[in-house]
Amino acid sequence: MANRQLIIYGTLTLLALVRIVSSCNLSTQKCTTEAAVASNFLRTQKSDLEHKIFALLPSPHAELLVGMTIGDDLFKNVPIFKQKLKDTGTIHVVVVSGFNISLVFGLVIKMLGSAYLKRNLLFAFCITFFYALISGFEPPVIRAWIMGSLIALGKYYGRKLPIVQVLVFSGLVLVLFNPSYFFSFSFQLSFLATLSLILFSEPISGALGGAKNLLLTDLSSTLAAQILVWPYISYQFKTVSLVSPLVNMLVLWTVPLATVIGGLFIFAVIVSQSLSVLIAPIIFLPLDYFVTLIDMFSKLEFASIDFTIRLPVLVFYYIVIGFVYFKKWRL
Amino acid sequence: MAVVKQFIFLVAFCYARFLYYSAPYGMVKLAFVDVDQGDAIYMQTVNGKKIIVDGGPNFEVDAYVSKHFLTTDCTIDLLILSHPHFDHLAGLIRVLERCVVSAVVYNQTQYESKEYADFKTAIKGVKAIVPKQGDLLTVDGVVLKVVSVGLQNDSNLNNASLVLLVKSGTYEVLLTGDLEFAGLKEIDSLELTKYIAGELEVYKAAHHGSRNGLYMPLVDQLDLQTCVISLGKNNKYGHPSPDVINYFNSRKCKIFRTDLFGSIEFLFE
Repeated sequence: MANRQLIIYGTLTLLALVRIVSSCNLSTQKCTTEAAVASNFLRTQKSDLEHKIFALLPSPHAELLVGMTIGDDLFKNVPIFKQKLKDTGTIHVVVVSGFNISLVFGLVIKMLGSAYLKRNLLFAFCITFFYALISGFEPPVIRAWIMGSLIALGKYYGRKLPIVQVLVFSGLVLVLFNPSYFFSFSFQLSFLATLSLILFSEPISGALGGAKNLLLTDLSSTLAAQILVWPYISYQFKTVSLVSPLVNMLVLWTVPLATVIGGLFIFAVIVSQSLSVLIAPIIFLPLDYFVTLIDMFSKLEFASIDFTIRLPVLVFYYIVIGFVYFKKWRL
Repeated sequence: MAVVKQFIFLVAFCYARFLYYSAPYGMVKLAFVDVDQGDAIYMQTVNGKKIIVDGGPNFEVDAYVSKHFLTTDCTIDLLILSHPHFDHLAGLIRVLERCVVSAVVYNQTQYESKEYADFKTAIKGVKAIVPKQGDLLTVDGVVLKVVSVGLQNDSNLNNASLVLLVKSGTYEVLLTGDLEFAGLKEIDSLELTKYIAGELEVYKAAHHGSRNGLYMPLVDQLDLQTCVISLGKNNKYGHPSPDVINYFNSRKCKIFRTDLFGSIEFLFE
């Protein structure tokens, strides 16, 4: 890394650490600044909307849809199903994440035409930022928004930004903005998963013989993301999901489908009662496939096992992985 | 187009799911749905009529019911509330708000709670049946006999639980709600056993397997075969009581618990 970059990242890291230490209680992991964004108005609008969705779709399909599109966590309605999501390692699907951001960003650009007109980019930034806000302004979403925006800007100026640096940069900025994010599981997991995907997607894809079809691509993404994530989940939640790669491979393809049709469905719920009744059985299909597969796989005895990795082992694991990575793929 | 192929696959998959969960033709299905700490019982008759007794404290019962329909529509023929405690009620409100319910049965107990008020609002416009002891409710060959309407003036709402004996052919299932000693004492066991042909195939342990739901003078008279306890994992009440488990074991009654097995399904001819 060039000296200039070293200085920038060094300073940001130092500032982030100072911010964490000064505003947080390290033993309780509670910080004095909490970002509470959803206003009362937004809350009532959301629950009106959710009420209408619940009249048209059964549980847990309705909770899944709401989680995937507008980011509300209603899974306390279906605690047994929520546990099944954890057991099969698919709970990450039900939150608004970087994927949603890139989806919305891509859709907006497509509708406007060129990705190289400054005003198109600006418009897409605004729409996705608004979406991030509506969906609760969760750390993974903001991080994805920052990353996506930086990469799109980079593309516009004809420079390919090193994506690991973009990830680290957005992580540091987030923590500076709100140090409590540092202790948020969703932030930690999404950071680890993204880093893991960035580093290991290509090697794993290559090892599996190249991206021949959608299922294989999803399998290699799942495995790549798991490399840095599974030991952390084991350390924090004391379980490991053994069926996770298989289940993820089988269900991930429905997520973009459900998100886009889900978006249309929600739009219909807001504007036209009769249209929403027509779309309900259509959005039901991918959601039902997802629910059925989760139900089936969670029934397996060994779907999820109790397995805890202790902190020293965790650190050792990361060091070894890092070492292997640098030796094999970075030279 | 790839999306069209995906949808064709999804439709086929959805249909397969529907076939899998529907009872085999000619059989009656009765399920104790795993709703965590609570009760919810689902029945489906030979011709696909649906009965729900209690809805649990969450929306899991809705998830279970929806598996028995091909798509998002939902029709329930009989919806029964044993007593308005939250852990029997919440799911029923969800079902009422989504599904078309033909008739509701509840004993109109006096009780103040937001959920009970919501329930009463949700059933406006639905035919309400106020049961009397001895009443027989018949849905497509399945008969539900009202064994007891509970004690309406007891300070403990659990004792106001509706008790039903479900009969399909020669199979009987006794649904006891959350009835405790005071209510269980009032049940005439001689009357009850007269109505049961041979063994009592399924006995639902009253009040989630707690000690106060086990009234021996009553249960001693029943020829128990299977005992079901509907409760949540690591519940804060200490259910099931070891006394109840020991009693069932001593009676050689096969025990099935929702906290260990998930939803428990029975199929009757």
